[in-house]
Amino acid sequence: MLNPLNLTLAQASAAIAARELSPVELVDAALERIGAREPEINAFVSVWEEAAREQGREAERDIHHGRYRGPLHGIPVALKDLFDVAGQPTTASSRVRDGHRAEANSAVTDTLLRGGAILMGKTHLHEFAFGLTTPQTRNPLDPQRTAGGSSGGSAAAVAYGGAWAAMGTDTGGSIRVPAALNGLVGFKPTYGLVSRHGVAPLAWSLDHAGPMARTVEDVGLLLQTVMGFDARDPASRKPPAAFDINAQADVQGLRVGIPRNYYFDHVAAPVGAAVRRAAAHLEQQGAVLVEVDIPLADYLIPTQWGLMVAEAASVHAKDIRQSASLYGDDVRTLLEAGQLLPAGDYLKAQRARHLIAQRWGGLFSEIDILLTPTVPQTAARIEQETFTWEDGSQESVTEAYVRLCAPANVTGLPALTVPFGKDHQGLPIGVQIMGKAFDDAKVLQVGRAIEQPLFPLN
Amino acid sequence: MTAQNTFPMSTEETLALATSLGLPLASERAPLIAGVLHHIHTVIVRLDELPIDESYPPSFAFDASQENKPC
Repeated sequence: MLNPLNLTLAQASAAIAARELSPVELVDAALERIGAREPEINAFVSVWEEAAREQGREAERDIHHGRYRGPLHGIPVALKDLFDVAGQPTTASSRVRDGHRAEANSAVTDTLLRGGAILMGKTHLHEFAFGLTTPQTRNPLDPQRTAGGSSGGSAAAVAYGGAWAAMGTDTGGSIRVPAALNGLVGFKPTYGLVSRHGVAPLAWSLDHAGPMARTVEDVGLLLQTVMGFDARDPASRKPPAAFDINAQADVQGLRVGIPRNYYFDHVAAPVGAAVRRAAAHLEQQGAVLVEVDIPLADYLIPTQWGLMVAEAASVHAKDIRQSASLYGDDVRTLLEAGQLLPAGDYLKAQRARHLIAQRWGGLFSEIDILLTPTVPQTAARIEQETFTWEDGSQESVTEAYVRLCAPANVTGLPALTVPFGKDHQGLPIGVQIMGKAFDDAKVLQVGRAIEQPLFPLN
Repeated sequence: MTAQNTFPMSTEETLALATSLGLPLASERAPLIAGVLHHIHTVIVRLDELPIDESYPPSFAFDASQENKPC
């Protein structure tokens, strides 16, 4: 008999299609894991047990009667609690949203339901996605450590088996950071590839929606379902016609950029070493390694901050004036300061982004993908506030976690994290793969060539 | 009054700016907000070093495929 928890999404999907496995068994297995781990981990804001069981039975009936809808049919998934589901609250893990109830589904919710996915519930996030730690959620691999953020609940739920995949959002690393810290695959697609209609915003020009799962193939299956043009999202773009996300990995002749600057500065030795091993692995398969200089490296974080703080302040302009005491201290402070930021700072960041994107376009004319660490250090302890680097300097955990992810938000380029080895403490290391705009399929193919998924579940 | 000072604004300046923008701010929070604002502004002001001229307008309708072209 198959143990569903040992199956990837793709394997479970194949077993369901072959009628060797029932969606009901998957839901039961996920609920059993939720019951066992949730008291300690707190990944979910809400678990829709009865609705999930009913969806499972319905999927079983439909498939039995030949109404198979595709690879997500009967697969339990979770949604970061920024995605609207009609009739349900979208809490954004904030007291500010008390009493909220969504009137309609987000675009992502609709596509998942059309594909037959089973919604297990909503997952916790760092309040309003404005942070990288999700303090209310613990890391299932080591509950004394952070799950990362802001999509920390999504990552934790998938990591312990409460869902086979989850949707997150990423404004400065919020999919990739928790995916890396929990030993998962997380993908921030090209800006505009996945609709954000019905997703509570943090910063419009940096926000992305994207999938998290245990393998690149699983992430690709989820992406294939949720991507596509949506006129309701002003950023939405039509993907290229040929977009075979799950094509077999072939890296022969691929030009892999290895940064000389920025991405290996203040990075823990095991993390840097893992990226270099991943590069060597690609080279052995026929890729060509190209050392590159990261353009305008000193201006990436200033641009990210200028855009994010100003846009988030605008999103929350009304609520921070009316309900400031309902926000958590860290988010309240940033939003209050953001209200006082000069407009010139925002315009400066906007114009800098234009220059940065052009220079990065030049970088990607020399290479096909860029290989880097996802985060400079593995999961921090819950109470930890800073990392101390080899030169004695200190950096806040949040600033460290955003540092290597933010460039893909500023440029809008696709960026994937895949697990690749562990550090001396047994904590997973994430390797980041970035690509050209709308070259998401290639990024995923390279990810498949190097990923080392973590099994069994913890 | 602007936030573009070399040093963090005083409590009084911060409260006056907040009031002018309709932001209720308790006086005991003003030094914290002034410090955080100063830190953010100091980071962003590094962008003044970039060679940004008239050919680099803001990107309000950001499009990753259009803007990631070599210059």
